[in-house]
Amino acid sequence: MPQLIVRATMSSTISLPLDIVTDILRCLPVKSLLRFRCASQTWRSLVDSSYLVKLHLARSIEENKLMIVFITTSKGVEDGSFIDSVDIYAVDDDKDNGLIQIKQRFQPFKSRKRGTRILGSCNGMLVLDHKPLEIWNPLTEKCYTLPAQSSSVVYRHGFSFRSYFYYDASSNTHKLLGKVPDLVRDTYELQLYNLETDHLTTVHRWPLEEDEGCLCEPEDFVLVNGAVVCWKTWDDDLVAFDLRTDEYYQFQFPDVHDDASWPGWDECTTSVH
Amino acid sequence: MSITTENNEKMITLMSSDGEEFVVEEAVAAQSQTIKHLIEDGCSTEGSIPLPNVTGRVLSEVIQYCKKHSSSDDKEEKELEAWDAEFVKAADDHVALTDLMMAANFLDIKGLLDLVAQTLANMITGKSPEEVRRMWNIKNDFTPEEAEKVRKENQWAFE
Repeated sequence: MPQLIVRATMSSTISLPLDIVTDILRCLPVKSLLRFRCASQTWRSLVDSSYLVKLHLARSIEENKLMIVFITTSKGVEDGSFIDSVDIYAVDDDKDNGLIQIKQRFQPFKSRKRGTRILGSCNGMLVLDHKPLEIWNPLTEKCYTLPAQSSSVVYRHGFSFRSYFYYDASSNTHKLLGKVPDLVRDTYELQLYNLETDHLTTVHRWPLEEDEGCLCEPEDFVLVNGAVVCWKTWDDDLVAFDLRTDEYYQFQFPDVHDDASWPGWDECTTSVH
Repeated sequence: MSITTENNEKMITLMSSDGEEFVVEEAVAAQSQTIKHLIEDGCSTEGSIPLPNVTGRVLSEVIQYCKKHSSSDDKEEKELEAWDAEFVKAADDHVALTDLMMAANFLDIKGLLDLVAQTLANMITGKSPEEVRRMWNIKNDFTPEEAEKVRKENQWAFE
């Protein structure tokens, strides 16, 4: 018993150092983290700091705990990709990779007149096609409105086009990439928007524009490891354009099918990022 | 003090804050980056290495962990995981675990730090902010209005 008393006294006089708190917090699930913002001012600023956010993300990726599945349902809108209510699940290591429900049927956009569509996701955040575009973190329920110029990545002439939301580790920034029609040049152009710097870049000279009769359809490209990959229609080659280095690569598509026809990206089961 | 065993393994002596001495193989002690750097700087050649932040009770636990982890190779990963689980279980409460974590932090033993941090995190995952404050004597420095506001910002986390 005396030993217990001594230990109890010790803990009441020793305060928990900040780096110890940080190390514990980075191992917690998001729900607990958000709850412990209430513990003290210090804990709140720690949870809100970008330092902890990065540590927590790194840990989640290391532990493979980041996978979240969104089940979206629509009501009164025919297109199923519009969000009405959201359920969130995470992979649970302890239950043999079963899914655990984190949030159930919450309605984040109840007040909006029209539905909400998800344009892309990255590091637990989603890009929503509100006007202007918004970045939404479904766990913290924080929403950031992007500057107006970001919309030109996705919208042109009243239509929306395929876009990718990704994290560029080489510059430690989040980027949004889209391919929109350029009516003047009768081709498509790549628009790259940097969320951290609010910088919009247009890539005019892109792999296929100068080859006549080979205008890739807007949907016919994927983003892999920071490179745009598309297919050249006339000789079955894959072309990759590295957005960081402005370099082109060409790959011969293996003749694996009888008719050697391109299956299309929609039927491409996986593109490894 | 630096002595050598029959197996030609170099031994070094660690001294805890309460004066307890532990003689361990250099490879075991070098699991701690802090001690490894002290050895490299030649601090172990005369007398023992003093560890003023770590009590004898905690140091003996740390050495237990380091011994296990320096003798196991990668093939025994599963067995090592089971051993780790038993090891933190034996530490039994959050005060002992916090002491252990502070030592792992000071001695810079990443594996032990991660292990104990995850154990403490698991322990508090379902707890309320009040319970966590009590565990570590954290002062609630919010005014009632502020507390209510912070709570409302993340209402779902309390459901």
